[in-house]
Amino acid sequence: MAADMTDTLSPYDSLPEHMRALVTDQVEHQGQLALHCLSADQRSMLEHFRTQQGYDFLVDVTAIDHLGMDQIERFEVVYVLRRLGENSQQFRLHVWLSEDSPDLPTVFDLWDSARWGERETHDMFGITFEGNPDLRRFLMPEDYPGFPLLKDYPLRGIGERRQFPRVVPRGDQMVEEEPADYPTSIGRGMHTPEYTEEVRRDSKPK
Amino acid sequence: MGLESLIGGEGFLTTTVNSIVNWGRKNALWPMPFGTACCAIEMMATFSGRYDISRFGAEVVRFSPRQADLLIVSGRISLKMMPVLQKIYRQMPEPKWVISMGACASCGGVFDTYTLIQGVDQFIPVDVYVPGCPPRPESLLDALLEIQNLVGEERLDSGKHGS
Amino acid sequence: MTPNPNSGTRDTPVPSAEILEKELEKGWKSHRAGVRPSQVTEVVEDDGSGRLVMNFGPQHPATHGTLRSIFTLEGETIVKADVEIGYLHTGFEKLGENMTYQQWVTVSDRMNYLSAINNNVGYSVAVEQLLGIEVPPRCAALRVIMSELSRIADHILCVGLQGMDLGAFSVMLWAFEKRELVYDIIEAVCGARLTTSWTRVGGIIRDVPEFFPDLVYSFLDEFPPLVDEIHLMLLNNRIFVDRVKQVGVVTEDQARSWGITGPIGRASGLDLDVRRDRPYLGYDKYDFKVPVQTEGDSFARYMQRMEEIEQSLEIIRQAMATLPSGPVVHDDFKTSLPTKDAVHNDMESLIHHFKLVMLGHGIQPTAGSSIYSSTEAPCGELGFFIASDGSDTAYRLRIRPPSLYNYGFFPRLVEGGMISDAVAVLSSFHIIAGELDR
Repeated sequence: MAADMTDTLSPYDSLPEHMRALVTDQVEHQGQLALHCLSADQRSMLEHFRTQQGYDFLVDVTAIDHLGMDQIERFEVVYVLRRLGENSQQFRLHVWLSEDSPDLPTVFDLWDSARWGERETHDMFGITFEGNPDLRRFLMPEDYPGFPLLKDYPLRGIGERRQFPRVVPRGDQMVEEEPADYPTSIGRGMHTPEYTEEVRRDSKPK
Repeated sequence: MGLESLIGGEGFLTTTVNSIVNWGRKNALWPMPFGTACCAIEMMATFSGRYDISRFGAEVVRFSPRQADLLIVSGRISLKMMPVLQKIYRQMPEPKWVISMGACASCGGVFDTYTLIQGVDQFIPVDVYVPGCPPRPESLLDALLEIQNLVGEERLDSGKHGS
Repeated sequence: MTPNPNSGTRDTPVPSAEILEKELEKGWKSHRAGVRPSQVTEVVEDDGSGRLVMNFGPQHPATHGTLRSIFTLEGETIVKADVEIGYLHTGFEKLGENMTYQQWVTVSDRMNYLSAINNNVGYSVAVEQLLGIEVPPRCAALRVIMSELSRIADHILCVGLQGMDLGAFSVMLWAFEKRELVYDIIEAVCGARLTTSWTRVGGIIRDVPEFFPDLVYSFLDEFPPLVDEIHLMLLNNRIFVDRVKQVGVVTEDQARSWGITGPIGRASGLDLDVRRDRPYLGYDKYDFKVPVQTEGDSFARYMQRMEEIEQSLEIIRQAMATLPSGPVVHDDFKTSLPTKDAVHNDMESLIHHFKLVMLGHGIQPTAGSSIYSSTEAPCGELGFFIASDGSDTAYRLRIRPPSLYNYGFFPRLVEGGMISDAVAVLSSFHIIAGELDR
């Protein structure tokens, strides 16, 4: 578990003076550095790191939803940046984003890996990235109304996993009818004590 | 030595149409693997050398539903995949049987989430369920034998397969 | 550039649960039996150009898993390619917010199901890094050995499927036969063939059996001839070589920009290996080379995987030779489960076990801490970003899947080629849908 800070300057120290004011917080945990900034400064910070400091590898783009947790804003968009080569370094940039206007400028022109990273963040959280050429739904069906990873979205969903017909062959047709009782084994009474008794009775040696 | 000596004489064999048809169907099932996730790997292992499925006659794996009669649903079925599964099931001609392999296909398995179908038997009829996560190849072979028993006991005039 | 009108967030605020329920009642019943047309295929009209829009998947023998590609063809040449994923989306990240750290390990091996141990190890390394604990050396060495065995199994399966897709069916059967050897070892050590759930936070479930060295050494004797056999079968086969040489070339700059890691990146010349650059579990003690090719075509990816198998065998030999003795679980029982022997005989271990397992107690990292930790999975760099709020479940568990960023480049790569090239490229990319969709 090597620390990511080498002998070279940390990303914060290599920032020019006027940009250090944009960093609202610096958090270091287990040798990993996380810089925090606000959504208005996201594009300029990322451009600086890409063009001036040579962070040419965007490892991941993701987001955290802090609903009801009394943080600066609701969303925290995380960019994990890495510089390859001899003075290899890695750090994270956390961008605070409010829920009233959950959109950020895209960075797909700086790193192509942001195209799908932002697309997935949009699919899971509803954060739009202006300028991303392809923000269709990704992992969920394209007409899905919700964003699953929000904290007020239930784990078991809102009933969409039952919205299918039951396809059964009847005669020489395939018929659609209402889905079977859910779950099916409980619908057939297999969980009741009477059923267990019956099974026990039937399986006794004669 | 061999079947000819048992039959003997002119070589006539009397049986019922039911038995012969069932015997033919069950010993030459053509599986259609609808493999999505981890169970698909165990299914591929069943089709491979060590746990050979061709001992039981089911080695002709057909990826086109029009040519198959045994649909093996192996792996978790998500919201997007369910219409695909139903379309494939509709495309298979009669007679057809369905094995729901693994816990995810039978009941949702480990994952009780917003996007996973909690058991495909709510939406397509299933004949045999195979528990396990993933089931060992021997379990899948056991399920195949169970299907063969089911096929052997069918009556042609029951109307089950659209006749 | 106007935002996509289908994104649904331009005018509406982020919906809450009540709004979602109302939407459902209004009639979102679009899941009828039958495949819903995607945006690409819906508005295609016959404009007389003779172009065909072909759907390739998600149920197809040549797509490894549930991947769907939509090709616009002119003859056999792909003019425009689009991909659709999500056919195996299960909500692992949402489960990570609802399951405790110990429980989620069982979910992790359903991601890359061909090499489940790498996922277990990756996740456990991430949680251990978040907590700031180190596993004992014996545990680290055992984790390394099993990870490399699992990597060998994954690579040999990839090579086998690559052969099968291009017509060399015997190679796949041989690959599966030798994979069973790996399964035997994994079953003896972990109890299950495929979904192992072998690691725990701070260690592994139990020590290996006494006959473990015999198993591994007999594997090291039986396996290497297969590598030469496969080379013999495929390299002398003109059809295979012609179908993979110069097909699907990924340059190093493209790999760097698109975030492509793993064998695909290294086959293009991008020299990235988490085991060497950010060593974990004592990988810096082993002397192994990281092979790098320069051409970046499917043939280079095939050679890359074969060479990585050789290097993994080398690591296993070294690790077995230097396997230390000692405990296999970290001794701080506030974070790691004590052994069963101690739990049954010692009161304090029993209390620690109770606290770690019962909901509400469990492992409690510092509130507000977050970590991004990556390990080298067979597909590439598997990363975990874990943010904690001080409770026993993660607040945000993000999985950085290598297959997602590898697959992102695929549509561009096949445009301009032919369909058969697309099959060759897809099988050499080795995209695992379980990890891609999570």
